[in-house]
Amino acid sequence: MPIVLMWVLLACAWAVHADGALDTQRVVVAGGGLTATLYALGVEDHIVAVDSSSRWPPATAEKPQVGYMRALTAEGVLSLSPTLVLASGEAGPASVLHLIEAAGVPVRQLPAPRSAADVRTTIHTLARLFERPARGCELIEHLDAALAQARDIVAGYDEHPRVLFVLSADGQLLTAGRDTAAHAMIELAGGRNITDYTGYKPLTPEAAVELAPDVILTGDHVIVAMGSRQALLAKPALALTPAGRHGRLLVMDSLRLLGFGPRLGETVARLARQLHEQP
Amino acid sequence: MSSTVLSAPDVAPRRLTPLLVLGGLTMALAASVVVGLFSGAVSLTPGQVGTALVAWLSGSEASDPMLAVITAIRLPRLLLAVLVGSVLAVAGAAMQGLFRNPLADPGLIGVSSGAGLGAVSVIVLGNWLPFLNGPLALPLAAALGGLLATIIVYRLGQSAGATDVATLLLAGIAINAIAGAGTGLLTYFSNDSELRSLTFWLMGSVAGSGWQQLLLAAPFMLVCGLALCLLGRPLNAFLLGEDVALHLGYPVERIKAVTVLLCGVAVGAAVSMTGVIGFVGLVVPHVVRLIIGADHRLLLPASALLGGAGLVVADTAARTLVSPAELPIGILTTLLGGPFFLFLLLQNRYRQ
Repeated sequence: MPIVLMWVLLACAWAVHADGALDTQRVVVAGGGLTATLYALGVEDHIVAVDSSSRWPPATAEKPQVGYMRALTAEGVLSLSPTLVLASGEAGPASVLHLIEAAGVPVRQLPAPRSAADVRTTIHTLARLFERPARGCELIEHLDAALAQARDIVAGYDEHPRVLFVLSADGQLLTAGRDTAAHAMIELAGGRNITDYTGYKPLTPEAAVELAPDVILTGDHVIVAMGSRQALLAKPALALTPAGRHGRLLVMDSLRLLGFGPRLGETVARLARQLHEQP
Repeated sequence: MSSTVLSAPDVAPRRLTPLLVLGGLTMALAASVVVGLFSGAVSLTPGQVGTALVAWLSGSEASDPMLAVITAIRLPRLLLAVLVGSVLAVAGAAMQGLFRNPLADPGLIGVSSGAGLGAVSVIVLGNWLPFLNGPLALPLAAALGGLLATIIVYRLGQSAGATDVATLLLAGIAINAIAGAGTGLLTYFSNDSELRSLTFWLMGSVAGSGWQQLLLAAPFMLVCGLALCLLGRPLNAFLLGEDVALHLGYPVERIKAVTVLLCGVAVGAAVSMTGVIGFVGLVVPHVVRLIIGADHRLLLPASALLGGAGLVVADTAARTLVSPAELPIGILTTLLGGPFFLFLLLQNRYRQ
């Protein structure tokens, strides 16, 4: 008898632990990739609020805001009386997430995706959570098809262009090393990231010349801040590189490029095509 | 206030002649520039550097992009480091003399934090306000912020046509705090990439400059820096007290206004190019004073020379130590200057 009881208890615990037990009626989302995935799954009606990094699709603008995902406030989130908080692994602060959980609202954190496999996992998890398995499978198939197309494009070229990713250019150049979303995107699209330090760091201008990138890749926010493409390419550090001399500057929507959301497949395919265009 | 740090010129006669001091420091500055010219992430032989310089001086385009590194990147950067280092140090020396306070530096009257607030505004608000964008927006906003802070602090320090130095100092501290809070507020509203960008800007770097930016800011720094170097005699009189200076026939009020404004413009222009580089303005004048005494006629130009050389050395380290990445120069000026300053201070105490 005690053994049976233990099994029942365990089964209950498992059921509570499994996603099926979470109430997804009113969800606050903190993380652009998660929001985009929920919209792609067609469950946007469940979203009661999003964070400021959720800017895709444009319809997210109509949702109430809870501020920036790294600076959530417990009271702000709880005031929306959510039944669930879905947060990226980068969201926080952790103390606030604990407070929200202590107030009886489950918080589900999903790791910030850095690879195609991570994006698949996110889609899969969310599809199960919101009981849209068929739509989830469709999205994953679609993603895989676009990624396969990108691989074909990459396989068709024997050289891998040397790419420098510029995160910002206010004064000095902040560029992407290893372990960054930009690095992962460059490698997926068949380019080679030419800097070998980790994270986003200032690159000394001479090194930019010596590393001789064929292509400079940047988000549209950098062009907005600099005023024009020419202004960015006119920086001595970039002007003297092969990319600068041939005007090979690729600009992409920052959110799309670094967001690792459901649009990853098309983004990689587009980047692969643009990287390998002849100057 | 220790008597050695700010002793009157005649109290501590030194063996070093002015010619020897200025000559030696000029040589040190030249040596640091030469070393800086030959070192960098791109390794070039002295021959290649010479070829690049000769080609540039004779007006022809360098054929090899590697040689263009010398003239398009290294040279403007070195010149900027010389100018900014000199201006920060000479402004620090002038401020310490004017306020008769060993802790005074251009940061004290709000220039650096005002400029910092201007720059951070452009970095963070540029997303929403399109007119805040473009390559010159950041330096202009920084210079404006620095100048504005200086003017406000100076006006606050004035009462009934006279400048009260104590009020001026306190006003500077208050403006610093307010500008710091404004910067903090903008930091709060910034996203990840803006945050990274402004953090590095606030730690300082001379990396952003090509000839265009250098030529824009250089006239302000050169003119104001040289003018500050000429204030030796009146600042010597200030060491004896404002009343004495007045009795000696110096236009005390005008000297105060001119000094504060020159410092504001020069340091504002410097900070707008490089971000906030701490420590140079505070420590370089003290180091010079510990070596040659407090005669401002010598102290001001000597501080400028040593400041320029120091910043070139720090920048050369910043761009080579972790190449191809780069260290923020403000960290290095403090790491190099701090222990050296403590060493001088302790040695001086033993001598007494």
